[in-house]
Amino acid sequence: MKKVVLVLAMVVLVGAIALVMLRPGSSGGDVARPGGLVEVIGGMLPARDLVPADVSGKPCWNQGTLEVPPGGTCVTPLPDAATRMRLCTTQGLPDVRVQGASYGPQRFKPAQLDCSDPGSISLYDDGSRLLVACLGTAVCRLKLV
Amino acid sequence: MVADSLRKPFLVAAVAAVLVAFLSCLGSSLVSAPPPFADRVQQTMSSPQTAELLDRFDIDVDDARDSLNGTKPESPPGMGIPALALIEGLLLLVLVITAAPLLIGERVTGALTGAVSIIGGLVVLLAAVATAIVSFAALMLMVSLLLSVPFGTMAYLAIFGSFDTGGAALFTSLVLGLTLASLVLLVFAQQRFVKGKGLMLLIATAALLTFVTALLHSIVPSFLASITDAVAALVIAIVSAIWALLVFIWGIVAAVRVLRLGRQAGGGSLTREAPSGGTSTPEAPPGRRTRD
Repeated sequence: MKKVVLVLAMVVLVGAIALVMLRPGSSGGDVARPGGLVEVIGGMLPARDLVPADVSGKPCWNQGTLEVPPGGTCVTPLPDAATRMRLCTTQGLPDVRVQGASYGPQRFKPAQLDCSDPGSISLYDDGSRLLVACLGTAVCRLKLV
Repeated sequence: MVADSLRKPFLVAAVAAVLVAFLSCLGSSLVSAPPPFADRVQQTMSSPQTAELLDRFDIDVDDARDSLNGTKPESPPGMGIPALALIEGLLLLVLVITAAPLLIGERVTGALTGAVSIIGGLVVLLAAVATAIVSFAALMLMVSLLLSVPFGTMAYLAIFGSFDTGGAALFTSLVLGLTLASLVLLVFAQQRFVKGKGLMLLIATAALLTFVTALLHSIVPSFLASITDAVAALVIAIVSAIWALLVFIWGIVAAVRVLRLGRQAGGGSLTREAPSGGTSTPEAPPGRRTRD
């Protein structure tokens, strides 16, 4: 019995060393879908959408809708508790950015804020601010969804 | 094999091997530094993974570059190997406590064993708790960045995506080799060391944690190595905290025994002489051989 255990232990040890030496899967990989362990840990992270109550009373906002005059810019400080935001353009040609304290700006094209398929914007930075500039001649309207 | 007498040079060499392993863990971050942040941004921008991200999410290259240039320059934390210093430090402490009476006599070391275990255990326990908190926070930060496609993912790649897996493999191999060498040297010093279950378990734990760290660095795509490194640091910190708590408790038990003996002897000698010929048995550390 002892010999069997010893042989098994040796096989496991050799296999483990081979695993470390060969480093399977150390190259490549999809950064957008890291899978496995990362997804499990990611599931433990707190997640909260930005809701109209978070921006009520802030300049340019009215009941979850942001209105920016042509040529104007609106800056909205976002609460750190919110981890994502779904925003879509209902009118105009806005230039939308999210800028925080530690990481560079996230910039979104009007097509990426389509109300038929609004994407989720991750708010991963501390002290994030939403900066919306209205580029066209018409008023820009965006709403939280 | 051979007569079971203590061979002091092998014992000293075993302690020295663990000391070198401990110092290697502590100094690893000084030896292997990541490339400058500007180079890492450049590397990220030119990587096929970033190109795929930009394509998939319809992001302009200039917007991506602006985003990375606006990111605070940070470095991959590299916490796994420095965290191994916790368990190697404990091993060093226990080994010194075990070896000291055999090398310089129990009269000198007997009374100090408990106090050293209490202080050492407490220091490692606090360091382990701090390491666990820091590595957990880093882990959460890295995962939240990586999962924030596309801009957060790019920031992750620029800051944490260039973990030096080759350098880490070198250090883990060195530390594992030294830990196993210390085991062999202990057996050469005196076969009875193998019977000390506490010491053997601690050596096995140190070797296993080093191996697990190497494994976690190796089995994932290299851009994920910073994350698995933080996982390794967290696991090491938790296991080290448990061991540190045990050493701390052993220290208290040893100190109480010494105090009781001191009272019984009416303030006389607290410990007995180490037997001549160095044939004392290395049992579970510390707090042993203080009882008559």
